[in-house]
Amino acid sequence: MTRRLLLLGGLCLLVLLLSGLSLMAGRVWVPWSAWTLAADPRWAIIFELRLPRTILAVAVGAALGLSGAVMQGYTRNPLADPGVLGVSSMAALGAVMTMYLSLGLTTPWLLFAAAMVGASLGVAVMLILAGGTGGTITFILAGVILNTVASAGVALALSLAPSPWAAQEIINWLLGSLADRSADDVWRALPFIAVGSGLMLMLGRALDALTLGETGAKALGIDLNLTRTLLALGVGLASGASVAVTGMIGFVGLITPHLMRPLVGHRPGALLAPSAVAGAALVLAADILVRLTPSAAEVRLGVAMAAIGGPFFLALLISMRRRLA
Amino acid sequence: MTGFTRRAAVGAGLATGFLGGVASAGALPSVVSLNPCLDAVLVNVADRGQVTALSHYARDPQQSSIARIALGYPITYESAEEVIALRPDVVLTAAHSSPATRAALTRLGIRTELFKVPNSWVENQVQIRRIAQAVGHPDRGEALIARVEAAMARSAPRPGARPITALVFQPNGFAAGHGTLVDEMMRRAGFVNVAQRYGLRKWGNVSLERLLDDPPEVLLAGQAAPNAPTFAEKILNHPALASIAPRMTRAVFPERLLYCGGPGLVDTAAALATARRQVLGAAA
Repeated sequence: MTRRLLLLGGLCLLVLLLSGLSLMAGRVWVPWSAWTLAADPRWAIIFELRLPRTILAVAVGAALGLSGAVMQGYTRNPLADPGVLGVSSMAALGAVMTMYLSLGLTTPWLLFAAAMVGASLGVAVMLILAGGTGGTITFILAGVILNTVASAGVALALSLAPSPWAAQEIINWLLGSLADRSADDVWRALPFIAVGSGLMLMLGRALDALTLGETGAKALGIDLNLTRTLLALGVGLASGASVAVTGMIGFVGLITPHLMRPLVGHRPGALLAPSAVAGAALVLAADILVRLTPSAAEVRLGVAMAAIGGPFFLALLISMRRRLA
Repeated sequence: MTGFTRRAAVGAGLATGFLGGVASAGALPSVVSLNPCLDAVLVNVADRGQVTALSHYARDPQQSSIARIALGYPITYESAEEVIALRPDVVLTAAHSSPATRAALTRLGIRTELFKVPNSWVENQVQIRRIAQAVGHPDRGEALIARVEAAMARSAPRPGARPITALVFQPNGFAAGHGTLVDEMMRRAGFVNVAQRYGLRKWGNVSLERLLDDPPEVLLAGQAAPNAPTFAEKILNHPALASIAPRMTRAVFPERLLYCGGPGLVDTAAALATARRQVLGAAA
């Protein structure tokens, strides 16, 4: 227990440290004098651009890390991530539709609203398809179907894009980025992410019980239908809102639980909180890296995440194989 | 909320910054452009000292008509941080740029001028006038418009010349249909855009099969980029095109002429006139 608290404390400290770095990192160097002097225009760079960006990186990272841990615990499959549920793709489809129809040119909140409508539709479909008596397998399959259909919708919008600029805009958005997000985006996304994460954190006991299988969990007094509903709502709200502000950022939900598992043991319930904090640290670090790369235009966060995540995952796999052999 | 007072303070800080900047530049606003098409107009209507930065696309010779000139200007990569640090009075941005960046600039109280893709010469003229007005040189905007109109007049066909069917054909079979600025330029130069024949509305790709089935008189073909034989560009030199070569003239129409209006239209008009002469001979 103390070890777990120590780990959580250490991770929180890391997030704080990275947050400080995140406020300093960027294309423009802002001297210390500008930090305190609100009359300096560069003050706005720190507090109107980098601060919202940092808060969003923490919130989105936590949401994705937690969603990943919950999904892997629930499906008892180490390859599951929030995307498997199909809700992220539905949110993306909603957002892409606003760009396809060239809406939201002057109303920036429309994209967020459309993405959230997509996410809630996704959750509703999930619950209808897999509700009632369906087991875990039905639930996962329903998610895969939803994911496939939504991705096809996005691809269709891309191939039918009304002009090359619209297509470019959709691609840029899909790659995922935190660049130039504002406090408005924070206020829009944070409530959904907070509620969703709260719901997911309540699932710890049910996930622990599910390691014994569905009948075992039922014998321990776990209401599987309630668990499924809470999970769909929690993941849907948190990852849906994340996609709505940042676009698609993969890999976080997949690798964070794997990073934390050797440190907290194999109890899925104990994995939840550390995964959330580690996810926040991971996205923050990637977002800092993205801003510091001396390339022309900023590397997209989703791309950077996958580029860092891939080799990292490979190293993890090799070390796991060695341990198992 | 302290946030509000702080934001107000930022606004005031930015405003004083502007006033200082304006005073030193002789009352003319400083401008940052975030779009290559707007860059081209801007360098034509503003003083060198007013242009704080162009977009990074401006230096790309494949896309920009002012690549050489742009080397002498600072550039940004379309991030709000860079723009704020430059403290411009006006930011020129296009409709398909990052919505987050636009929202951030608006929130910070920087005047942003938003431009859609122009679909006709009239729309383009309005944009040129708006840019010229924003930089405080409306006369130069009119001069640029007159220059483009003179170029159009030079490239217009002789009265009574028969219209020639033509199709724009760029990498991936990309073409411009009705209701685009290119379409209007083609009409003014004595062509009939037959993109509709291939099922195209505004923008889109023409399949090679339909092109071979019913070729236009002139193919306004893009040039494959040097040393970049991409899959998309292979279609421009597809062997099947040779089979209709006797029936179809092929003229050069670089892709960068396709998207922007402004001073680039002078080149567009000239390229179209050349293509017409290729078909009708010097008499046209």
